[in-house]
Amino acid sequence: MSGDAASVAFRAEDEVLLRRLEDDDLLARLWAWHAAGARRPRPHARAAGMIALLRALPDGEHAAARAREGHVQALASLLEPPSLAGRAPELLHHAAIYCGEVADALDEVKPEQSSAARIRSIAAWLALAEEERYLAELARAVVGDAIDAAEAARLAADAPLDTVDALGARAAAGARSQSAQGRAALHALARVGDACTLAACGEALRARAIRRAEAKRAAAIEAALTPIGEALDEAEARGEAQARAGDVLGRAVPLWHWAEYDEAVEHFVVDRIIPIAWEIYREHAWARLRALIAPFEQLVDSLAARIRSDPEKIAYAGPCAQMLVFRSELESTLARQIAVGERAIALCPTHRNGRLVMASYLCDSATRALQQMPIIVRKKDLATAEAQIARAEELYPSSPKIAPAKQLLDEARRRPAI
Amino acid sequence: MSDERGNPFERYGLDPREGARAITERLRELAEDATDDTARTELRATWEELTMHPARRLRAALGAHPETRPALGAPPPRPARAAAIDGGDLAWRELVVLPSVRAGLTPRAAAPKPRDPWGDDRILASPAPSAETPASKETRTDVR
Repeated sequence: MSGDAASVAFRAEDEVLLRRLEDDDLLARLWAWHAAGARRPRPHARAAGMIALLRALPDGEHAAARAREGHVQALASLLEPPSLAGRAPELLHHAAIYCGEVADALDEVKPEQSSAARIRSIAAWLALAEEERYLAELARAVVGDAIDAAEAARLAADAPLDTVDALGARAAAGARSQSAQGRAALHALARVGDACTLAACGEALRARAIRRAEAKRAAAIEAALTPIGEALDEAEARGEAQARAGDVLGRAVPLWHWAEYDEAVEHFVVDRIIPIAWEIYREHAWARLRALIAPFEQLVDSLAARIRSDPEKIAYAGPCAQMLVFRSELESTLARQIAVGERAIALCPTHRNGRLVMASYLCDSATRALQQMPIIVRKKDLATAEAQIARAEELYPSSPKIAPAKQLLDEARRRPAI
Repeated sequence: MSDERGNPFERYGLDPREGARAITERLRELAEDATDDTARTELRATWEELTMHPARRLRAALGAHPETRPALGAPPPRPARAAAIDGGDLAWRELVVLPSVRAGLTPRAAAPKPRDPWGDDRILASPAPSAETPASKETRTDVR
């Protein structure tokens, strides 16, 4: 065939067809790269339009050429820019759906990668919501006059947040069984703020998205905690709370790990365990009290750290301090009791029981020191005992241990000092 | 925005921007072509979902990859031979039935003759066949 004949035969339309076929092939390669090991079928052929849009980006053709040679990384990287600001809305729409499809495909086989893809998908949706125009035009074209324009615009604007709702439903579904998929969804909900940053969305949309994600995350964890709470209610109704609380509440510990150490689980445990711990405490059943609260030490320490680092979390300062007071009562040495008691007081300076037990510990410590100096006192130890008794009086003036301690102190002051 | 069977706009090749009427047309065509009741029931359910609930239609549209591929153009023009026939400028070569084609048109009962491309061709080797011969009939059908 001559050159002229060839140019006549291969027309612009044929070039278009060839590019579409090549893009379809690149889509298959990209999908195989992203969803390796997954059994989900590749996206619809229309998704190949995304490849054409990626090729149009700077370095896009180079990335496509590399992908045709079997090196897909560069093409995949075009879907993962540090910011989605300035991306064409059509590409954002493709990316939102494609990344969601990748996330679905990897849900069972690679939950962590699924979560990352989900964040990319949500970020693309949020970037579309921020852009506004594309979604509004699409809504007008799709619904026409069937619903009024304002309602259509509202539906379009809310659509990106529907993905957050869907993620919440996925997290809730996986919460009771504490599945890997549920955990991935929960993780993604916790990272919606990152998606907002990626999408470069404004403060208003960011606040809405994060608020919605937090609510969904809380609902999913609530769904997981509900059976534990119900089992505990049942045990209480049967008068078996003390006997069964350890087993029932113990289920909250793996849940806490599953939920990535979520604060709501910490609140739940503290709320439910304290009344039962008090019952056991009043019976002076120290071994049972230890058995009940020991499995939750890490969880309580986590809550304490949150409260110390954020003064707004004051609502749980008292209950958390009470858990530390229980722990201090079970410590084996006076020094360790004082150390844990100090943590309780630091967490909640007005905590009545904390101040009471701390005053008691300080008096015990001063009394022991003074009793060890029956003939000659060491000035340094005397000063320490004086300070401890003074602090005990400040913390809890009506402590019954203060008067005997002060009497010992007066006697010691009359002895020779070195 | 899509169920486990996939997005309805993608599954049935629908363009969400064309509106409810186009969706109805396309799904009706598909229902007419459907070979079993299950498929027809599914098509009806999809039609109801997409046409009777605009909000759901929008949700499904948002969940479908947009059609951003460049539009396919016209197919290539017909080969020159066909163009010549359409134009009435029919050369005698256009009527030639190549031996390989003719062999395929010959009833199976007829034994193949020894390979002699030009000598074996009746048109080249003998007067043109009459309009009633099977070969000429098939040739006309072939070029229509």
